[in-house]
Amino acid sequence: MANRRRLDGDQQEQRRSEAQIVRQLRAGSKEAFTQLYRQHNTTMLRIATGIVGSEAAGEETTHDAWIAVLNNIDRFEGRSGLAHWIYVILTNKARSRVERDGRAVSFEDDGTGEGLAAAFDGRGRWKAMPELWEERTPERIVAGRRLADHVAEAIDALPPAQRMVLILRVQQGLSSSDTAAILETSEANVRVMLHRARLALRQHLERLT
Amino acid sequence: MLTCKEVVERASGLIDGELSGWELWKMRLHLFLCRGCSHFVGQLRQTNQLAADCGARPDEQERSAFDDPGPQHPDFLSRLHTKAADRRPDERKA
Ligand SMILES: [Zn+2]
Repeated sequence: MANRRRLDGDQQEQRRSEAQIVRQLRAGSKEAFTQLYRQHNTTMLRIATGIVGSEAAGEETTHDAWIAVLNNIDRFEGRSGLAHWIYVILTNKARSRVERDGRAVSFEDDGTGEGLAAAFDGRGRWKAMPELWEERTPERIVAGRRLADHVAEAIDALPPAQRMVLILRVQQGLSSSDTAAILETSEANVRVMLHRARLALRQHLERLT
Repeated sequence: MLTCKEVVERASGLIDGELSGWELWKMRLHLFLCRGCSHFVGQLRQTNQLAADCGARPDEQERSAFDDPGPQHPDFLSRLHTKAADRRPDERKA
């Protein structure tokens, strides 16, 4: 509970607007739902597809999750934040789906990541020093496409667990502990996977120049 | 003194503000003295920012589904609401 009192201004603002959205959803506001949907649906589709393994099943799972969100909004208590609550519902739906299909689901580190081991000499020094990157903006055209498209492609190519951690931590701004709870893994594992995901993306961007 | 390899291993911790005290000081010292690592951390920050921007950008498909409801959009929201209204709250609490 001490955490609650330490919320900074941004978070308080976010909680307030969240409470408002929840109130509106309970009153059946279509606008509130549309706003929530726009905010999360693309991410949810990516996460669900990552877990269930096909786009069609990912869409169904996300659809089911939205229905569950609407059906249960009266029971949302605001302890963990709306985004967290939605992603827990989504990952639970996705897990049941995978289990129903008789497969196993695991968010443990699945990285085979080549890492950077080969970049160092025996004494842990760079063999070739990384160079200074010039400013890279999403709209910059590199190798014929927007940098944003290259990044999106690289994210899609990540192992599923790393991709999910990156989406939840970096794109949705959830904490390590929230992300660990959603993926039912340890915070340490979340940190490892996030680091590997960043290394892989960096490597991808490095190759573009 | 940390090696460059150790700096790379701790770089995400630095970006996420998870280092403190002695660990943070050792990182700062190394980055001050080593151009390669300082470039590397800059690259990783840029990578992270690009990944974050990439998620914030509304997806093309999603945008068209709302601003330009075509035949591929058979009033998804209404269907959802009807379904939600029909159902009893029987879902497991998250
Ligand atoms: Zn170094």
